[in-house]
Amino acid sequence: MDMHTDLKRLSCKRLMVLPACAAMATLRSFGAYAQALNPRAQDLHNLHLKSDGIELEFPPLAETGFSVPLRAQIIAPNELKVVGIEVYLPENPVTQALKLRVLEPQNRYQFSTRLRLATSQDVWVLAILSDGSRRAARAHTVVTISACVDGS
Amino acid sequence: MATLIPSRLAFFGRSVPGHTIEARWIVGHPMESGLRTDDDGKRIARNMITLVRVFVAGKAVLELEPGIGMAANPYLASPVTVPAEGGFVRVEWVDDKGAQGSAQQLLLLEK
Repeated sequence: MDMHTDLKRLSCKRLMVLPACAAMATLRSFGAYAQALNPRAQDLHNLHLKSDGIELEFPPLAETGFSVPLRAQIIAPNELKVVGIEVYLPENPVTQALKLRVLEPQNRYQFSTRLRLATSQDVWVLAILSDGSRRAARAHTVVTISACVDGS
Repeated sequence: MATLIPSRLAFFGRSVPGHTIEARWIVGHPMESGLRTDDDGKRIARNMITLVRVFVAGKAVLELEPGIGMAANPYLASPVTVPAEGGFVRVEWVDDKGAQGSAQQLLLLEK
């Protein structure tokens, strides 16, 4: 049993203070919410998503992490269309780099942008298809100078 | 006085009705993450573009929510389907300090 569960039971049994229980529940749900918004590499691996139809162009070596070009092409299978794209950088302080909503869904979608990387890591591109399913692909890059440098 | 933030929009590809071309947009925005400190150790205030919308002939086709992982001077190249009558492609953005701007370019059709 973890410490949070122990604390929660203690609050409920001894003090009989409902607000304390509610606060704990809120904190735990906030933790899950924050994790969903800020997934780390293992969370993305655990999704076990297919990478079919996603091609990434990402430099294997970047001189600085300040501006690393990414080009992604997504081809949806069968009659499906691409309705959204999310880009994650799991080693950054905030992992979601950008989110695209395609308001005119297309079978083939290609986009380019430039990312800011804190350190060497994988970039993850998640494609959301019109049936609600998701695909994901990743590409690794080695960064020699981080973009998280203060006073620069 | 508000600082003018430059923004440019260009197209790549054959501008034939029904074809897909690439719209390339760039804006000179600092995209300050709020995590950095200056030489005196003071935190530099966050200033990020929070929403970008792309319109083709007045119809919204794409919404972008940049995070702090997007580089300064954001660049986005995305596909645009050329409408039968042509028209304007417009990109609008707003940042979390309330500044906003746009770039607009006419899609001239090839004969």
